[in-house]
Amino acid sequence: MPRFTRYWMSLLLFALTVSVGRPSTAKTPQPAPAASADVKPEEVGIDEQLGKFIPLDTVLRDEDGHDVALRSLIDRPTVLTLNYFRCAGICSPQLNGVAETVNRTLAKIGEQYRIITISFDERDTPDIAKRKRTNYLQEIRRPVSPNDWRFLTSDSVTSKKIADSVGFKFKRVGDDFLHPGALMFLSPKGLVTRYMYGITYVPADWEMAVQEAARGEVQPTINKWLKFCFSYDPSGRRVALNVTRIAGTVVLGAAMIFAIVLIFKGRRTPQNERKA
Amino acid sequence: MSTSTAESNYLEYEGRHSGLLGWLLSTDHKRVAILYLVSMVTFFFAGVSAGFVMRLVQLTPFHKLITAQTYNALFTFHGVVMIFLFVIPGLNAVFGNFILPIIIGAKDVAFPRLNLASWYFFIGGALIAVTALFTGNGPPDTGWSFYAPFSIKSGTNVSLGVFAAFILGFSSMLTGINFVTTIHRLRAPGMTFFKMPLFPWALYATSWMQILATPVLAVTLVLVILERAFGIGVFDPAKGGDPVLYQHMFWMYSHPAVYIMILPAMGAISEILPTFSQRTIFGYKAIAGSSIAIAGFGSLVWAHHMFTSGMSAFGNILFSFLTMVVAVPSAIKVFNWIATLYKGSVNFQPPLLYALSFIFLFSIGGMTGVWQGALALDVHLHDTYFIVGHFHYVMFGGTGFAFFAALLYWFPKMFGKMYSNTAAYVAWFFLFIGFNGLYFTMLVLGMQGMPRRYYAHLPQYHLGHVIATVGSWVLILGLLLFFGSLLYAVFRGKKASANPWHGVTLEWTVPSPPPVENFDEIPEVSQGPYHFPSEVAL
Repeated sequence: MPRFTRYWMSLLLFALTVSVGRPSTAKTPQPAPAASADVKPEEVGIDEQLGKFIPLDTVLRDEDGHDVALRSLIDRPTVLTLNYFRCAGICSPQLNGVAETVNRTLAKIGEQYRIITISFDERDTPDIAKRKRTNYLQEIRRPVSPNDWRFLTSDSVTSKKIADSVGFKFKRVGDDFLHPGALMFLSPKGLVTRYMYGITYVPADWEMAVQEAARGEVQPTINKWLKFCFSYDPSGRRVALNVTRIAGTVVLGAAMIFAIVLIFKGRRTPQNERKA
Repeated sequence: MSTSTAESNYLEYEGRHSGLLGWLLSTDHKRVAILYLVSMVTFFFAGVSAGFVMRLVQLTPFHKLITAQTYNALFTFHGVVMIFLFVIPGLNAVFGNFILPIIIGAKDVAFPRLNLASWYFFIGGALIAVTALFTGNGPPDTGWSFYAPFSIKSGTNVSLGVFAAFILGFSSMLTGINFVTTIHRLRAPGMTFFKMPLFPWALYATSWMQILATPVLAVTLVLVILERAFGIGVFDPAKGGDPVLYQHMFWMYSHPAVYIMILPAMGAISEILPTFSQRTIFGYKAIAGSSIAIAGFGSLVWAHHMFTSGMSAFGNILFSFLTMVVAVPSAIKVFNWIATLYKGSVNFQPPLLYALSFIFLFSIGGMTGVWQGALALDVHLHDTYFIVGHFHYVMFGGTGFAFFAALLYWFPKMFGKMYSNTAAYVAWFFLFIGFNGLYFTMLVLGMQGMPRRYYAHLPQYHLGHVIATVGSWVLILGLLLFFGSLLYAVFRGKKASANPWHGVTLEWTVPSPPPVENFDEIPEVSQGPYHFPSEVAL
């Protein structure tokens, strides 16, 4: 078989295996469906910035309209969410998911971590932010003070700066925004330590992420592979081992290696037989 | 081996061991093939006996011949034996082993010891399956598909039966790895992929399916055993498991398995037709490519077994569509086969008669399969005798008749003897009449609404059941005549020449039966596989 044909066959096999075995996109950040037709995939989503710092000197407006520097709020592990307050899409389900997880996780809000929600819509006012905070704090059924979950607003340049620092890419479409749904965990020094995707979260993961953020440990990429192997079963409320997915990947991977070896090794001929 | 092998053929050759050990410990691909042939035909008749009793039970609407529980055990046994011990190894194990190395100009398969090990896995699995019948709390009663959650709850000896199927899977996988490597590495000099005969092409596609699909079955069966032993709850809804997941995993293997069964059969037919029409195969590349296409698409249609299991409408439509698509490469083969006969110099010998019967019966099996692929119709036909009729047309009418055709075609090569043509024709008559009497009636019964796997039947189905049962007797008569005449020929048949059918592929260039190492000198190939001298003269 000509050598270039072998390369193409190997490439094809590799592509096939990667495409079949790649993780489901169900839990990775997806833009809201509305008006997504004219948006390129690279314009909206998450570019993970693990191990990088967010600009702590950034000054935003708090719920009373006062200036507040992020440095003064991020003095403990912090869960950062980026939303806008008039959002009719995934923001509310996401923040409900956050409140629900705060109720269920063993990590104590306030004592062990703080949540900061920053609006990337410059039209959001401190007044709306305050009402949002009141709403969501009511959802929490454990001791919580208004200082434990902050809702901040700012001008568009400032919020964009923060979003860029965590790789959060959003796009304005008319009156609304297309944006991913994700949480960022920050260490007390503003280090990005973990991303959590989707709108519901595993309480155990949450607690783990808070502890890691406290220690300033960045989740290595391997975690993505673990994510691939374990998925959260929402009805059973537990993390499940994806037996089928692991087995499928192993089988396809092994078969691909087998095929590539056969293709490259070529036919047995008297020449290579003698060599053997 | 330094001795000249031209003198002693593989049947007479005595190596380190002689007698029975000379067979049981031989790594010669031809002896392994005969081991498979003998053991598989034995299992086949065990399966036939179970089928015979089941038909006898249906001779009366309400009967006292056996209990309902025994009936359940019988159809499970029949299914497991016929599927795992006969049609899945099928032509692959017997003719793949015997013919593949010779037809591509090799001395043996790539891994001869692994080849023998595959047979031991096969026999080991078979023995465990038989053990499951007589130990524990009675033979498994789940049907060959071991559907959860019943297979998890059933008090019968399901774990051992499932374990047997697990072991048999290894035999299948190892054979697949062996054949793929053989085809890649051991083709004769000059034999490129597109100068390779179509039987190896079919085996190549089959082997990849064995390699890729069988592990899914292995995982599934292990999960069933773990479920039964430890109650892990993967398939048990009470523990948050999902029985539909079982069906997905089971059919993800078992539907490709249908193509594992039929592809080598199609390969054998593609060898027989050119030889008996003395004409090059029509559409060589289309047939070769369609084998790969069947393997590819055939791996993506499994959920058409589950249209009534509560999948999403989108899932149903997708799998229905893919099911229709997989009929295309099968049809490509059928049309090319028929075109091969056109203007050929047709020599109407028994192998051709059986091969043509294959095309006829397989076409019925294939077309009824397309019916079932249609969503609305499938809801009506699901779990009726129509399904039973359909898959017998595919597996028995298809693979079974192709197995008979291939056996008749290569028998002189394998044993160096000729059989009686008359006996083969008479056996065909009984087989064909009996087969259609039995299974076409089942198609009709299914359309009328007779559910499958029922111990009793309502009076309105009685006539159909009587016809089917009589058909089964005629069919069994044909089987006895067929195998009886071949067995007679093995010992008393006339000596066969090296090339009784005037074939042109490499197996006809070696003596009958072939010498131990097949070729004194590895042949060089310079042209495509089906160049007939008479055709060139025309």
